[in-house]
Amino acid sequence: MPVADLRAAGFDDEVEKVGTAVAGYLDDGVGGNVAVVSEPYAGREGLLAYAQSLLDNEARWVALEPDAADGSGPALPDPIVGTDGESGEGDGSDDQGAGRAGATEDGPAAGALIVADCHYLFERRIDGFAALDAFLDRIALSDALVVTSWNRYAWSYLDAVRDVGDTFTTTVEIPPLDAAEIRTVLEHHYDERPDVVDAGGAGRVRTVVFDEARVPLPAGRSVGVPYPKPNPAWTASWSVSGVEESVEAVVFEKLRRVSNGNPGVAMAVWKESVRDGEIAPGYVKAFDTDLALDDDAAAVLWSVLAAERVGVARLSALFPERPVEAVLQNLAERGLVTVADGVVAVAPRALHLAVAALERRNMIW
Amino acid sequence: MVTGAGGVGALWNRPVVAQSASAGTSFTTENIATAAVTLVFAYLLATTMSRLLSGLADRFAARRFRVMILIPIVKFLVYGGALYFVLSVLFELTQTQLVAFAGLLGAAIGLGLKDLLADVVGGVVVVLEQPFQVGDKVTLGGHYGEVVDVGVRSTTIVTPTDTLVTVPNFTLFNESVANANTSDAEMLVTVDFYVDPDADVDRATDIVTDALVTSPFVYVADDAPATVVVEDDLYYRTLQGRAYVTDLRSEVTFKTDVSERVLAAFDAEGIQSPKVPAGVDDPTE
Repeated sequence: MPVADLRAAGFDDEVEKVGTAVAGYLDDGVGGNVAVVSEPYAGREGLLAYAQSLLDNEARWVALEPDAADGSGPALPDPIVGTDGESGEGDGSDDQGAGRAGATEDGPAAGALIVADCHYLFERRIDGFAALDAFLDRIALSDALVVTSWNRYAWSYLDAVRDVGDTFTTTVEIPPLDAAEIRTVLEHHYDERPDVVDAGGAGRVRTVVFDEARVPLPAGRSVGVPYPKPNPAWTASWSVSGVEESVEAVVFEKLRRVSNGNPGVAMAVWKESVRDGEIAPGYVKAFDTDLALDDDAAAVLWSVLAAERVGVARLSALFPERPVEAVLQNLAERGLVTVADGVVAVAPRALHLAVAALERRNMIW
Repeated sequence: MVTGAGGVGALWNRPVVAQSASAGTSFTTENIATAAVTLVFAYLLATTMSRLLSGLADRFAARRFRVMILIPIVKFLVYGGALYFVLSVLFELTQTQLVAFAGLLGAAIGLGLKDLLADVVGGVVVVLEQPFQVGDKVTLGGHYGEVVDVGVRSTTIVTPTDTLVTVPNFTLFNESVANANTSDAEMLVTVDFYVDPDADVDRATDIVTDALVTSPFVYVADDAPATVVVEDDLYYRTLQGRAYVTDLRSEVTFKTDVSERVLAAFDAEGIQSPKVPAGVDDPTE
């Protein structure tokens, strides 16, 4: 998400925090370690790009890959760079800066380093923290400016088990948006807006849906008894105060609830919800929040959520005792993850369903 | 008015005549049937509420204790209400009769119901004092397991070997109760490993630490750290891994997960088990 969208969404404080850290480095040569932390799809890359632009696109940009934890990924360049432009051990061959915001290919002119997706530096296994520990040791002793980005769920885990937060002088967490801010982001991002309509029967959201409870009878028999329960989709279409808003406001409020204020998820849901140039509350589909996971599914889903994208082979190696392929198939059928070209990612629309399910299991801290 | 209905039984028949003569009792067929229906209804209501609350609690997983705490309270309210209703239907107790009833009750308790009453009082103490709740892992009456039911007379726990143990509530008055989690979902679990004194203990400690914090069932926070305690002995060293599980129901699964991965890593790293000389107690056995 571009920084203009982030500003439009009301992330001024977060943008300013990054700006202050970079300004301190540019003005006084004061280094520091900055961690930009967010959920998947929430736009942390925009803040890294903003830092890069403030540094005149001269900071070395390293985008870590999912295999960074075992050392086969791109080598980290030494952030301690002399004023003569001498760089460290990194060869920059894997830098993606050239393709981003015009970063130079011949290395930085000063000691600034941008590292995206640092959650790839660890794996949740024995000896899975070596690359992370080495990286943290290096930047802890560095005078350079190091701007990093992290997955929020990996960050909270690593902060608990590795005190990763102690290494960073500035932590920028991207907060969830409210309905008005989501509206601003979407209006800023898309030139053409769909017509907001009350779709009538097709788009109407039922207030109550019926579920069935099995009541045991003698001799091992049972009978199904239907009972009403509130429809989560309808619940999501109401504001907290319970006052019905205009159709347009209901659409954005429902978007907020489905996306849990995550701008990237809101955009994805918005894109899926527009039909023939129109959008209605009924078009914004909400997942049923009642998701049960067994131990295998929970363990695999946590790894996918914390890594954001990970290869099936790596997951299989991580969980040799678990039926990873079967679990992934089940998760994909339930719409929780996507599997494409052997890479698993959490589906944007199902992000908060997955988070809620893992929170209920106390796996997200 | 019909008193002392024949179907009620000898225990009821005898006092029926005496008490109805002194007025204050209403042992009609209708009232006795009402009382019976009330007790059956109370049983069904308490059972249904208990199942509903258990089902609801399961949906909350880690926060299930906030719901489970209601189960014994609901049971006591339902049974207490039913008992009050039955007594008020069958007896119209005047002060004199109340004293007489208390005397009879005292005699009955003295003759054989004192244990039952102690159990009931113990149940009330469990509800009021809450030394444990449904869902807690406790050692009670010499048995360790998860509390699955707190009844009026007894508490039921399930041991790790899936054995259902019914412990009378009066046990509370005679024995100490050990509660492993005090109504939190998280619970400290220890896993012991023994290595040869010549083994690389630092490396072994790192392996155990990593195994603890990378388990899918672990919970780590500032007030719930994962640690490894090393103890030295003449023939072996003990590495005790200590960590909290996300849910106490994962205790055994967590131990198994950590043990399997640690032992595999020990094998891969050549970290030896202790070689205990003959005549010395083997810690691994």
